Amino acid sequence: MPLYTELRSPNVHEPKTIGEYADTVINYSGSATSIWAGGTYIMSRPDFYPSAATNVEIINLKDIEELYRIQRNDRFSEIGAMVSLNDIALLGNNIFPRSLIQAIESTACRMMRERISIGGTLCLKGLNSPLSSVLVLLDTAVEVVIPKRRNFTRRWMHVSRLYDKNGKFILNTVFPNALVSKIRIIIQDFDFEYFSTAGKPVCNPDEAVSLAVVSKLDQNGLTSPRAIITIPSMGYAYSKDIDTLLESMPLPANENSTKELFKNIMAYISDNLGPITPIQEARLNGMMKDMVLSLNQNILSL
Amino acid sequence: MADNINNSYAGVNQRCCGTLILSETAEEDIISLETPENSHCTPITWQDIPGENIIKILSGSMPLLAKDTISYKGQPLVAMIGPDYETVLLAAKEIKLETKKTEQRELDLETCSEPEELTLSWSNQKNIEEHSEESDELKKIESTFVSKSKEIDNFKMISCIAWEKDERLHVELPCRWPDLVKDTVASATGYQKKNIFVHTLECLSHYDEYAIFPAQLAAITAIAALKMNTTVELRSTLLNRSPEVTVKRTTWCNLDSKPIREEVSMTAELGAFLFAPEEYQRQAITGLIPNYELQSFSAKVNITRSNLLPSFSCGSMGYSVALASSEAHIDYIADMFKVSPLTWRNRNLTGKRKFTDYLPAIELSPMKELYKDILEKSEYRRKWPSYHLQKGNMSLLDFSRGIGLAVGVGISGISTTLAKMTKYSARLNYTTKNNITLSVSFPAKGQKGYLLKEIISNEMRFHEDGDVILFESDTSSVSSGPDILSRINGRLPRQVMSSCRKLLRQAKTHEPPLSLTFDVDDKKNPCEFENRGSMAIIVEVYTDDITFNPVVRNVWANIVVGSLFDKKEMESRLKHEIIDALHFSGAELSKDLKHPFNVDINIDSSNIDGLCGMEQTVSGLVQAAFFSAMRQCCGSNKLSIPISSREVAESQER
Amino acid sequence: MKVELVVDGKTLSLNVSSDKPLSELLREDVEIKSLSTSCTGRLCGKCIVLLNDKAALSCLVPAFNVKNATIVTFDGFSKTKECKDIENAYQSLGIEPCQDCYASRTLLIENILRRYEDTDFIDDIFSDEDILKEIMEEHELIKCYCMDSTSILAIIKESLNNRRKRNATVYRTKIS
Repeated sequence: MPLYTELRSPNVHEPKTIGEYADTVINYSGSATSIWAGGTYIMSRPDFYPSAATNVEIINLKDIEELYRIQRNDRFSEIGAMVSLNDIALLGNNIFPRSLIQAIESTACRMMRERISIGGTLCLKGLNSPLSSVLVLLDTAVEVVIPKRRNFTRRWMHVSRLYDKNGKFILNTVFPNALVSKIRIIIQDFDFEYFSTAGKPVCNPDEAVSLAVVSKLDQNGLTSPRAIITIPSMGYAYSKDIDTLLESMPLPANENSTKELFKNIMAYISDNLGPITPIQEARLNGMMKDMVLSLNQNILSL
Repeated sequence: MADNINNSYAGVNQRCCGTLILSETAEEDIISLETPENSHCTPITWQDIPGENIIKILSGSMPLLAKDTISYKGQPLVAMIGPDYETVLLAAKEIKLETKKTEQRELDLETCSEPEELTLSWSNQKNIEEHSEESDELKKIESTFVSKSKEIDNFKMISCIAWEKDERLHVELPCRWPDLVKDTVASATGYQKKNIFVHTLECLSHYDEYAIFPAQLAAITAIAALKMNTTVELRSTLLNRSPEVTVKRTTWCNLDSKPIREEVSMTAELGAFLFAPEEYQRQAITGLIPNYELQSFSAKVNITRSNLLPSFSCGSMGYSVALASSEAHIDYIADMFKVSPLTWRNRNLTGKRKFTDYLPAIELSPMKELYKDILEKSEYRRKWPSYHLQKGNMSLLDFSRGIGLAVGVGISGISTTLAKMTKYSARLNYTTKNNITLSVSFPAKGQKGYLLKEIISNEMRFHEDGDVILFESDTSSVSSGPDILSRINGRLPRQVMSSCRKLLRQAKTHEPPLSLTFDVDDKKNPCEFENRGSMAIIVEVYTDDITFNPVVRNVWANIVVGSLFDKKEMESRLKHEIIDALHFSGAELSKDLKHPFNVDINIDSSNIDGLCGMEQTVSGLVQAAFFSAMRQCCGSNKLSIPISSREVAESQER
Repeated sequence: MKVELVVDGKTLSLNVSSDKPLSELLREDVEIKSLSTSCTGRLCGKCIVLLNDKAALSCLVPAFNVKNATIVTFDGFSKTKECKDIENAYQSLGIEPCQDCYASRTLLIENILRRYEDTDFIDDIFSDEDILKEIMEEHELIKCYCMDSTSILAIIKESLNNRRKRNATVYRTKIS
């Protein structure tokens, strides 16, 4: 007798090791499997429950001890994919770039951060989080477990390879059933860091936008700057062209050069991602002005 | 199908579960509606209604379940009843609805016609042409105030349980108008009213969302319970919406900025079905009367229908938005004469506001006293010109701030005309145990009940707690109408007071038990409404440079109410209402730790008998002050309530 | 799926669909009254429970993740002394959440109190901008606009004082 008249309760698998995970995912590769980290995003989707079609086999990662490990040396930190965002924020407050901590804090409030895993945040389908783009900016590497029949391999890759050029999550199309198991964040110092986000990426992606910039700074201006703009509904703008624009900007920057920079960035976004909404544009403009103001303050205080 | 469920599940679970399916489209004719055949669910459609497929609210009505036409988005189409929620929700997803766009909107004119335009006008001058539009001596000032329709999505789910026992039909649900629930269930099921028992659950109704929809849900649940012959619990999302309102106002002022003549036109879109639209017109036209002397004034209020969710009352029945438009208009006049709204008010808040059929005359100069204190506290005189300089080329620093002032009087309860049309009553009993019982049919738990008890104790000179007993939600003996915002605090307290006095007089000549049934609303008032309570408010805002969200930093309010029983509680309640109204207007509250959002409230009592519901007044004046502040902040005349970050961004592109 | 869990001190064994949200499970299978809203994961913030002593939005927790968990809902929490600490603060300050968010707001405050009740200096907490910002962000999760941040912080401070006074009394009684 079924539990509910019309509803089949999904089977829940709780592997204890990566090996068990690989076995399970290969065994059920023909069924509709769903891999659960924290589950916050999955459960916030409309019509999640009850649903007859989805979640036939759930693979819950919560018992894989390896995914909770944190290792640190003087060059980088390796963080398991199931480590909560809150733990990363608490651990890394003094060692990680400030922009990363700000991006983590902007993702959700503390109560929610305690239940959101870093791996889950990186693997959101159909939504670009400001956090994943900051990790791209910081040259973060991820370890991916690729299950094979009776075996699995581990491979390190740049976090940007999880996404296509517009920031759409593609890991599972390239490597079916692959699992992000670790995140390696390089410990690095920047003279200038800026992070700002506006709007709610999950609830109202069409109004949300975020900007992150990191760079070395000396009296001549920015050296090797990197900038990334996240448009949650469309993808992210991360390009050498934008970095070059920033590097060539005379500092302290005046209103005209800020306008010019913004114009060029908008042209890049329009060419590569498509048109963004007027409020996203206005907010990005506000962020640019704010970033340049902060940059000017930094350069003048050198 | 129904038999199958009765045999298989009802006996096991003792309760069937159901969900109400609401339409996602509007203005469409239903070609076919197919429910899944093989599921263990039973659909309840309009064809299952043994009585009338109708819910009657005051002068209007609408179908309980859509029959041939879907009139508005959110209209109940069908209820799916099954053994558990999972099953019914899955079955609901499989419902196939085929529709075609209604070619010509068919209005059921008998049940739902748009009322005639309501007008109000006066003129002190024999020859109005003296002050015609063309006159060189008069300046013409025009403004448009728009309050956009806003769906109130507070994620509320409403659940109703219905069961039949010993030929009595019981419904249990949260609601603020139990009489309507009873009437609707009776007309839909054919049950006699005396055999229907409404068990009301506690609920908080920020926007009057528990006024009408619960009755509709209760009737459908009762039909399902009778059809399934078991207890049924039916759930649905609770919907409510504020109407879209546009107020166009033209004022002609003399060269000294004194207003001479004014014309106002208000259009309110109240949705697919209209309930008491005349009452909406009366409340709205009362709010349109401005707080300055005029030699000539004319106002008209039109009601229109649309394909949207019917909007009966959403915390207000027109007064608050009309009041907001009247106060916001003063900024436009002051702008024209290049003076601050305060200077203009100081000049023109003199004399008397004219006596009309809607409101008695009031002296205007005491209003200046209302805002005197908050002007000092807020440093309005310094801030207003300072923020004004940010406009145009005068600005040295790029900042966007604004400060707005609004002042006005409140009204309470429903109009005298509607009071005369209805027979809403309450009952006082003086028992043989020398205590008093008050029976009302709406829920009056909590503070409202406490205040009513206090009033009775005061009047009857009782000193002990158990001397006054309140029977709320008592639909068996009285019908007291709806408890929509501001009504219960409206005229009921005063009616209770005078009835207590009558009862005391009777007690001198007759032995208890004595009983007195009295009108909840005052039917003898010469005007439609009374001036009840007054308020002045200042709101200070800024816009965030990055998000463009309108952020409120400070609110200062000075409020005069009638009787004041518990100052702390009143302060807390008014603070809730101010925050609620700000949120409704699109404001964010400042999170800046150095300058957190702060409300400074001062409440005084005018010691007039009775309480006054300040909800509509607070809402209207907060909207007006916030709107004025945002106009100053953005330097734009194109804003509309609720103000969005999109509008702010557009206005700052200048 | 069979789920064993403790809700408000009662051990229960329930047969539910494994992906059923905890909020629905509590409402339908345990008949918890304080969970009156159903945003189905749209983050209304009004379904907060204490899950293994930490606040969580119950609509975002699937049934399979609450096996052997301890859950405190407002139905149970309202009868505790801890709740009185917070309700006394509401009363003394004359500020109270509205009926819609009362349960969630109170449980969220309790979550914050548990985080800081052992801190030696309350004033340090209330002068640390990061902590205050964190607290305010948490309260914004509840989509109800009946309270402002100043009031919330005042309530937390007052509740924390009440809690510490009570804890000190309990400690003294134990010592004596």
